[in-house]
Amino acid sequence: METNDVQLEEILDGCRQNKRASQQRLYAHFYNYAMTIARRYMGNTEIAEEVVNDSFFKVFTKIHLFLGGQPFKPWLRRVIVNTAIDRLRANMNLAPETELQAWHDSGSLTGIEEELTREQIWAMLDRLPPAYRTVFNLAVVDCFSHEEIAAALQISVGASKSNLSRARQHLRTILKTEFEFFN
Amino acid sequence: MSDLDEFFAKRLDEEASFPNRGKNWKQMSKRLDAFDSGMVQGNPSGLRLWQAAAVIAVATAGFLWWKTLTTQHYNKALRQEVAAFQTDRLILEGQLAAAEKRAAAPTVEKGNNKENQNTESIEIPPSADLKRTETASKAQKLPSEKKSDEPARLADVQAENLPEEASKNFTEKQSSTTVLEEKASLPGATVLPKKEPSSLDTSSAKSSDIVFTTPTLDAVKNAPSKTDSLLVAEEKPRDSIASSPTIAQEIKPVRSAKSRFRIGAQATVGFVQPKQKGVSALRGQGFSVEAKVLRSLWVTASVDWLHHEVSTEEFVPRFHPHHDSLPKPPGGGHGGPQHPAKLVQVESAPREQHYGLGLRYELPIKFWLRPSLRVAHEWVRVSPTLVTYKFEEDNPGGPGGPNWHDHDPEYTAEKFDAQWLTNQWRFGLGLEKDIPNWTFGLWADYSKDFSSATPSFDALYVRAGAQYRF
Repeated sequence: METNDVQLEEILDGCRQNKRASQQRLYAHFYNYAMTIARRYMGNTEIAEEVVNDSFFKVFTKIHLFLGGQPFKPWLRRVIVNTAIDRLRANMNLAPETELQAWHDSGSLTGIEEELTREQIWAMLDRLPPAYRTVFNLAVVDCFSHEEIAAALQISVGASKSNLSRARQHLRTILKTEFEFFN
Repeated sequence: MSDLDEFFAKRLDEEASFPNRGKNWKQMSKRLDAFDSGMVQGNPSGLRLWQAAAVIAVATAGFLWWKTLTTQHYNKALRQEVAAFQTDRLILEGQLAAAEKRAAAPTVEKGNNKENQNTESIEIPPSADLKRTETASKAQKLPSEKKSDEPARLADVQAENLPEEASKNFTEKQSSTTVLEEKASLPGATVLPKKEPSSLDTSSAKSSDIVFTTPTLDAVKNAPSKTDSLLVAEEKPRDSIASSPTIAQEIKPVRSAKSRFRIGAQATVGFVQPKQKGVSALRGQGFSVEAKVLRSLWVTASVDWLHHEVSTEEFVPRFHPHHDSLPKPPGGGHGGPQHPAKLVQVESAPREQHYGLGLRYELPIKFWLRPSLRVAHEWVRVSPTLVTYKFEEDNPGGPGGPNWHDHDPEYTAEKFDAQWLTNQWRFGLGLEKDIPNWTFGLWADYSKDFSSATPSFDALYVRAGAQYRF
């Protein structure tokens, strides 16, 4: 479904007036986008669906907090990420790792873009411990700083760096042992 | 960013296509319907509450500002009044000194012949006499407006500062030379000039050398006289302004640490006891008023606006004092009698107003922080609240089980009217620090629910605030 900026503003106006049809259009338009974000955080499609619905519920009930004239997509992304973090924080231990291991970026990837499917990439990510996966998603995909990650997850900056380093190591190990992508 | 990071960032951010959009939207729509059914009426009251709180806060700030200004004006007026009294006193003393000198000559011999053996003599050195003269000349250097109304002010001062009888006597004696005659007529009282004054001009008083002899204390006490009060007034220390009865009444310490009233604001954080998963901390703010009733005992009144969120996996009655029965799922559940719906989540965001009345006792401990104990009864008003219930089919087999049916969860919402909770008691310990006009404090309170009719939860509160003393 193609929706330009003017149409999106109309939809958002309808959402502000609590019109169900406008809410449905917004939901349909951003459903895949929201699921993509929630899926990589939660590691599970069913839980990701719950996170998406919780996120849209927040969007619809707090749409008055979104000021017009600003891009909607980043705001929605932030709501989804925050909802996912809340769910992860409630259900698992994101305790900081005390040992900080440096990441040595040895070797380079060659030609894997064409060979790996999306499902394989998700499977690799799902094999990471939740704490590592969350920090990796926040830092690498959503471009959070370590300070922001530490504040969001209520861990130390050192723990955030450590978790990111360990996530990278895990991913490199998986790529090397199972796909032999590193030269 | 390494190529590994770039690779994952790029691939993970690609938008994929996911199924179940329609099914998930149906759930969302039902949830929104349930939310709308309660929140349409719920929002405005919450808004009004915060508007009222804001108005109260502004009014309190305005009152404190006005009170500060009026106090400053009052203090300024007091200072001016004290200065005027000091000036008047100097003038009065100068006049008295001059009158005494004028009257000294004709009474010397008469007084000296009487009961000379029964006196104590006090010799005023020339330097003291000089001092009196200086104060008199200082009084002459006052601004012109002071000089112009000097007679009127003198009369006022006499009337205010001296007892009525003495004032009357003093006025009479000013026009005659009988003051010291009367002094001398007292049992044992004499006034002895060592040398005749050359002139009645006060500027020449420096050269005079007068010896006052005053009666013994017992003799004065035993001899009632019209001039007693005047003599007493003369013997008062010259720098003891507050010893004048009128001044002593008017000059009071203002804004001292012994203020009897306080008004302040505080921020509060509370934690339910025992801890319950899914119940957030209570947050809010409030105002307090205190009045001292005894030396270390204060009556306290407070109002706090608190709110918190409840999201539990089961119905916990103590967090929902509005009612004690579970709602039925809409439609009775998907699965019918064989697969009844099961409550899996209860959500609400209660807002409460705590009205407290109690006593606070300041412990007599010498420390830079002042500890105190507080006990208070609270009336708690729980605002109209929307409670959302989430039901799911109760299938022991779970997904993939023998009787598994992929049904959507059901949502229902109930809106409850405001309710009053009583028999809530707070027991607290606090530490306070005083600075001029203000008291800052940190208090820890344990709130205990003793109500059996509407059981609520216990909580541990931490309050931090500031109070203005007046």
